Amino acid sequence: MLLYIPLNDNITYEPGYRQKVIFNHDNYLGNEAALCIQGLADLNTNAVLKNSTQVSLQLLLRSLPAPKGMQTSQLFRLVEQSNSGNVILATYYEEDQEIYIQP
Amino acid sequence: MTPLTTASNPVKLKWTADASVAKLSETILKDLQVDADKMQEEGEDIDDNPKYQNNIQDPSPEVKVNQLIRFNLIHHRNSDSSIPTLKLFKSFTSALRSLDQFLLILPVNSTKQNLPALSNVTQINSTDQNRMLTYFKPYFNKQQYSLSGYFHVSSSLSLQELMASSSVYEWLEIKRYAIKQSPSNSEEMVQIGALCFSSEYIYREDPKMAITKHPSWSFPTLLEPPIIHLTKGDFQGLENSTKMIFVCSE
Repeated sequence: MLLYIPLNDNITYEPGYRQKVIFNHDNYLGNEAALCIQGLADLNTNAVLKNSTQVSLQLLLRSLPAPKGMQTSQLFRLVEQSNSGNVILATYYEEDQEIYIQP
Repeated sequence: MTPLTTASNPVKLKWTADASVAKLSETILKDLQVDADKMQEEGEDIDDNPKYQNNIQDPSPEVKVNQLIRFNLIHHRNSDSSIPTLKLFKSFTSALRSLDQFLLILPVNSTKQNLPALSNVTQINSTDQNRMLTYFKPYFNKQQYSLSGYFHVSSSLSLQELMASSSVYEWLEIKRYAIKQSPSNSEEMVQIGALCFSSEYIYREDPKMAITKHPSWSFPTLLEPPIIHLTKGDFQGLENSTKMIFVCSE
């Protein structure tokens, strides 16, 4: 979900309005952290599942189920190519950091 | 004694009457005749109307056309700088100017293009803090030790050629900066909106594509639709801020 906020309205200069936007934005996203994946094929590459279904690598990674104890039902919240194009970024909630840094 | 000529009795000498010219013509004619006889003996055709090779080269000099380039400088993360912004501005623009004698540092703001451009090193060196802000738009208002921000130049070289040159490349490497070309060279990009609830890690090309391919993205009165660009930035509140994706347009 994305909500466009025009910045040329006078209301955007009101401190109360800006505070409300920041509060809603941070509450919706939570504390986001990201890990980098390098060397993986292009995210649009199709992978064939055991049942012969074809899915993109991006969708496959986003669908990986989360282990017990995590705040979300999927392992990664977002799987995106980085804007520089070098790596793939996978995001998760910072509160679940321990699960990702386990050896 | 040679009689003096005056305006009243001018001596009209024709060059054909000059003995030395006539003698030379006779010699050339003889040589030509000898050459023609030789060629005839060898069985070669003689062209009665010889064609003279035009050795005159195209006299029009190569005119280099200047192009307008907008770009931004980005200071690498985790790189310290104790050099004031004004000093960085002078050294960077001098490095650019040394490459291209036709280079002009133009005002960044498109509404201030009637102001004079910085066209030589003297003008660059005499620039003060206030004047610099006409030709350089920093990312932040109180930016004292960084040259991260926007530039607008006119050059006969492309941005790639400018970046590849030794002096600019060296400046960028030593001072730890990168150059990125602006999506629009005609006007500066300004923030027009923000995308609330957008992750800062989002691949920005995807939402940009979704916006520009949407059926409602049509501008019948314009020749071309406006260029938009998505950037990551801080949405500032009174006491705190948050990372957000901003929509910038011409």
